[in-house]
Amino acid sequence: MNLKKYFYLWCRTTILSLQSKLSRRGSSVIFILGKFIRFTFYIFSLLVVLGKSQKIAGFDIKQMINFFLIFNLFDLLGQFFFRGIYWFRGKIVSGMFDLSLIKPVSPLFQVLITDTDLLDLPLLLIVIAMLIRQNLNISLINLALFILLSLAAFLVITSFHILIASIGIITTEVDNMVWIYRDLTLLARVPVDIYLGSVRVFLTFILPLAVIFTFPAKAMMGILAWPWIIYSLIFSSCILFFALKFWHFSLRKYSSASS
Amino acid sequence: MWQFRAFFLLLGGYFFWYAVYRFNNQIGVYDEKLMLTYVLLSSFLQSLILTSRNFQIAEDIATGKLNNRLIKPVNYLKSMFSLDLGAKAASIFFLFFQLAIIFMVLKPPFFIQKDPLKLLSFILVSLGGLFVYFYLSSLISLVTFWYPEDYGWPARFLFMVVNNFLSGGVLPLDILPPAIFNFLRLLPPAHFIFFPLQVYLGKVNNFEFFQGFLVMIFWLIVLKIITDFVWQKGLKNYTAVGI
Repeated sequence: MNLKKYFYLWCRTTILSLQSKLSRRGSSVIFILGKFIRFTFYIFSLLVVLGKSQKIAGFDIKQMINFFLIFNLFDLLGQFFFRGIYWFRGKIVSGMFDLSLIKPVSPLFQVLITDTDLLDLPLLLIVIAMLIRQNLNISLINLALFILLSLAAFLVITSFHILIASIGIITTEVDNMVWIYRDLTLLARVPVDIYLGSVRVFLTFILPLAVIFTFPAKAMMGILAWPWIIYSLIFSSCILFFALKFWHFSLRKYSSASS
Repeated sequence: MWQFRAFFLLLGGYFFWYAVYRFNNQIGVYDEKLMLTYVLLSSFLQSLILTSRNFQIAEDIATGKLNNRLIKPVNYLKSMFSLDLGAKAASIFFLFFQLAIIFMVLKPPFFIQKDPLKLLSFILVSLGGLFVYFYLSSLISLVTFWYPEDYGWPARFLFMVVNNFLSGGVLPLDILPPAIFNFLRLLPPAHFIFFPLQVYLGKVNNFEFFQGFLVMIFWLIVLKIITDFVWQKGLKNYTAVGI
């Protein structure tokens, strides 16, 4: 794969996306404002609940805020890079996906990251700034582990989006699949440790939101056991491999209907 | 699929509060039973009150489809209210199965209100909230007469974000600091989820009930007048762009 070509293409499509957003300044400002308000309301609600309770599952307020910020970090990163998946259904049902297939660029690349959502960038930067401010005293080893597990988390997020796109080709159900994924991720605004055994197992092994949201946060705070680090790395590699295989399988099922 | 989403959201809220109460006996004035009752019944009120087809008003205006509606011999806003009722009925129908699964599998502690007067009051304020929401939501859609960009979704998105919190959909408003709570409970959204549930849970005395009820009636009248006024003004501004 020619990385330079793909990076150039991403930059070009991102600039086009920015131009599109700037052509609708009013809407863009309202969407950004809405995202800020939602973030503020949730962090305020979390502080209120935590202020009225003892530690939850052994986590204090600072740790819970860290979990919430990490949740937002990866949630926003997913939306920032992979917003294109939200419009994929239209391409499938109209047959416009044909045009992606004939271009000399990976169709998966076109589906996933040729519609960067810059409206998520302001909040993303604020979340990163808050995380840095919250964790100024982080040790080098914890920082290194956090970066490593963040990469694993991003691979899992990417894999989920590839799986959703693949299912979309076969069933034409994309929008709802994305929203179900996002609704389920809301469970990970808090560490999965606080949930009952069966729910915790589900969120660790079946739909491993723990790998995306909880483990990187724990690694940053230096409270993640080594077996989970190894599990995250192995799982993220396996699911990416499986997602890519499934993507190629689904491409063979594409019927080009309506084109 | 929408119903799956609603079910997952309901489960998410349930599991979160269930988990919080594993480590705490009391959050504010709520013990586990009252809070889980609040969460489960708030899903019912979301289906009854917040499920709406009002976004279609904005789409009709932005796309020019309103022309087709205006020439029909029916009152447009009333016909939208009928559509609303249909959407609410479907949502409640599916919610019944979702709640049945939760009650059968998870067996949550649930507060059953046995006082018939309080149950009647709950139904009354829920229906009142339904009308207040209809007018408020319609008003948001009518903004599209002047700002048709993105089919009115920016204003709707902002409204949904703010309403979700101010209605008590995220957490009961009386958990918030008293100064904020005393302000928020006077606003229209507080009558969509929070106030009806306070009535059901028996947390309001007669005076507080009538006070809340009068505030709700006040908003209902004010919003109806404003909506009718904005509708008339908007029609004069309407140019059927998109046709």
